[in-house]
Amino acid sequence: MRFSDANLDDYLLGVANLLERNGVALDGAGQELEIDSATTGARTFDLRGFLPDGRQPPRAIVELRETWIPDGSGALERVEYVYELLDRERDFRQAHHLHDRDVFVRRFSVVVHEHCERPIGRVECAHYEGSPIRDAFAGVVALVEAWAADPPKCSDRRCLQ
Amino acid sequence: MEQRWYSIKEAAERLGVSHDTVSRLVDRGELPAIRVSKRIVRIPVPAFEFYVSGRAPTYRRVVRREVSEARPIAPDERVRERQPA
Repeated sequence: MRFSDANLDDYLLGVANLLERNGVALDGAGQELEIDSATTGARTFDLRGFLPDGRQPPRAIVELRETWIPDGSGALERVEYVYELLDRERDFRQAHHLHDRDVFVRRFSVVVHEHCERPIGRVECAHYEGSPIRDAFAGVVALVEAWAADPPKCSDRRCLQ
Repeated sequence: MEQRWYSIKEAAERLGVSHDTVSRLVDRGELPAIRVSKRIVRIPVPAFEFYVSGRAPTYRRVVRREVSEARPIAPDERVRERQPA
């Protein structure tokens, strides 16, 4: 996935829109969404919200974070993501991660991984096998789907070791 | 534990419209839904409530914040627990 800066702005606005249409109350997001722009050219954003709405304390937290870097041709390429659901009401954590690509390829022959905790804080396996998430729109769908479904059975998943 | 999703039938009953009308809303993407299989669709309750409210998503704009260095995603990265702002 490669974007210009303008594409990235539209993408972030679209993802925030999808979150809101799914009933997620965005945290601290008035009318401005921030993209951190590093001198290296890297761009990062972090969207966080609450389900089923903004009530406190939040019953579930969703977070989407991505890092994009210049690919050498003037475009930006997504190189890291974190899509997370922390469901306090049902007491589980579901996370989809892409980071430290070289480390994971070397150790486990995978690029992406997942985290699963139920109850929250019980880590039976540090990293589970996962499927790549195409983009943050698919990330929103995956998190909302996990929130709406029955709590996960972490032990049914394949542990990377 | 509150119900977290509605079937097409339940959503249709709540809206007072037909099953087909809700299916069309889902197909057109106007009502966010989870497609469990070809025939099974689940409508998350918060998405349904947002749709029923008639509200439009908030108008937003993107602002850039200059930082010296991007914060890499840490191996033990996890969702922040702080309360809503």
